[in-house]
Amino acid sequence: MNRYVVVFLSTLVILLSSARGHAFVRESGQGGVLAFWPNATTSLNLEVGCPNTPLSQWGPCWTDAVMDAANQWPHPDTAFRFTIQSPTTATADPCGDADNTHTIAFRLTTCGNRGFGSSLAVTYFLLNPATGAFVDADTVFAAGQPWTTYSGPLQTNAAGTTVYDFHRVAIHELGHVLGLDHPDDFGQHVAAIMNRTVSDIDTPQADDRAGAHAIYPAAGATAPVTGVLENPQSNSAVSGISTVSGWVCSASQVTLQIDATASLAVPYGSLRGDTQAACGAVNTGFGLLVNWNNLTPGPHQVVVSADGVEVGRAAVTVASFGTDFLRGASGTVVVPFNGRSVTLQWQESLQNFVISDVQ
Amino acid sequence: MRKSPVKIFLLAVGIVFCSALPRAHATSAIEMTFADLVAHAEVIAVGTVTDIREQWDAAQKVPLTLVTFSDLTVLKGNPGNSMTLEFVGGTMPNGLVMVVSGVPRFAVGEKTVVFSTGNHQDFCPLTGVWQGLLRVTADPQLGTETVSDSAHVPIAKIQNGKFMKFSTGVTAQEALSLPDLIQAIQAELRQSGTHS
Repeated sequence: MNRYVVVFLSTLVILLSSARGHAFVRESGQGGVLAFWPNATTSLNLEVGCPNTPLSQWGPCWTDAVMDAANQWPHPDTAFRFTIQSPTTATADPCGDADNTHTIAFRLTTCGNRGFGSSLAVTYFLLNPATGAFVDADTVFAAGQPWTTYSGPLQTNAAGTTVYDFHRVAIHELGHVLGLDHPDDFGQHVAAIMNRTVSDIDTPQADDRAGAHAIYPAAGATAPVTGVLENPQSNSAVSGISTVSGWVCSASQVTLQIDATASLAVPYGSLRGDTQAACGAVNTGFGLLVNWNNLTPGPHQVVVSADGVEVGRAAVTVASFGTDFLRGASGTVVVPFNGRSVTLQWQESLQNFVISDVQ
Repeated sequence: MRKSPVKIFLLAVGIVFCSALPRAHATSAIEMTFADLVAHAEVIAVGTVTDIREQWDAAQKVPLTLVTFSDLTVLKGNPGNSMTLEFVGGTMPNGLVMVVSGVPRFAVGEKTVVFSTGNHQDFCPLTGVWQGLLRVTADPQLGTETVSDSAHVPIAKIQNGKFMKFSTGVTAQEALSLPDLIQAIQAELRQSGTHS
């Protein structure tokens, strides 16, 4: 077979395989703590009302469309459930303080009296930064957009402008509310309603359901995995030899994947006294030494999982000297930092510079 | 650097595959073409994140995250030597954290190309939310700087008004270089009659 044909077929198989793979990403707070509803449920306070002309699908009111959207998420293998608040709290502020009510409303501005810019809908959530537990979540839809409802491929009006299907956008925003982020925000390519671009997809896909299941598994213990990938931080630079580390409350096995390669077992169970409050345990630390020089310079994805459920991920950029282990180099460099004069010394064992003096 | 036939072929396959993805518009933001981005941005600048800090807006009762970009190469607008963009989200006075889904996150020290609209007015001062942020990756060995999107997906080129991206297999020398991007922005500004 022609060499290029083999390359083409191999590439196609890889691309199609990746398109089918699970790539869901969980919402997270600062420091990478993953978000979840502790009781696997939240109440929806629907303030979207009705349009002047009754909706032809999932209507007659916007409220009906959101209720149907909420019903798209429950699944036999997922414990999470939306409940509908009745009666509604008409005075609830979708941008107010934590009120443990997920308010969905049309507004001319978003929270903080800020404009939508080019956005259609915005979901805000409040969470406990130590545990990732959601405290509140609210969604505001841009009142000025040409909303309607329809299923199937995206539709445009006579002027060629896209007419937005409120129903599929509501499904997407409710996916945020239950704890799912955009997979394509993290370089993933998968068919998902949670992708940041609305498309012909109008219902939750296998990857979306896998994400909901991963956070809220229906079988056995319903408590989601609680843990944090602390190092490396997302959008950071990495170099030399350093530790991928963090903590997980409870797991049989913690694993590391870099760029979706084979999973590496990560030593787990070191003492972390600071997790007592979040986990009720202190033997929660994990850490694995990584020689970043083994990777090509440039962007990479680091994903840590506990018993197959993602704990955290970080987009990192590797910088290296182009060799796995630089031998025989030495030297110091003095740089100004934070108003001081700092001496950095090359340390071969770390394949990195360390601070050797501060003046 | 001379590219091998196989690399060129893979590049072509990647572009064809990405082009075949269905046309889509953003859920949380309306999809913008390259020309839209350039036209709608009030400021376009290459800069490095030098500071990230949080602030409580007591009047509006929202936390803000202020991201400062320095060492600016300004392509449009007049932000001065540095600019601070104001994002809704951050730590509340009670210690809880407000997160806005889909808003890009930054790290001090990273080099970026920022298209900004509605700073101090919109919840996210990036034109088209994530679309207004491109990240720059330096390769010290090759001495090149290449451009990725906000999700760190390398951009191959600008074609038919869109950034053509890759999911796998793009090396630094194949991705769109920062000088080429700047040139494309300047050309778009000239074509639209907008001057910096």
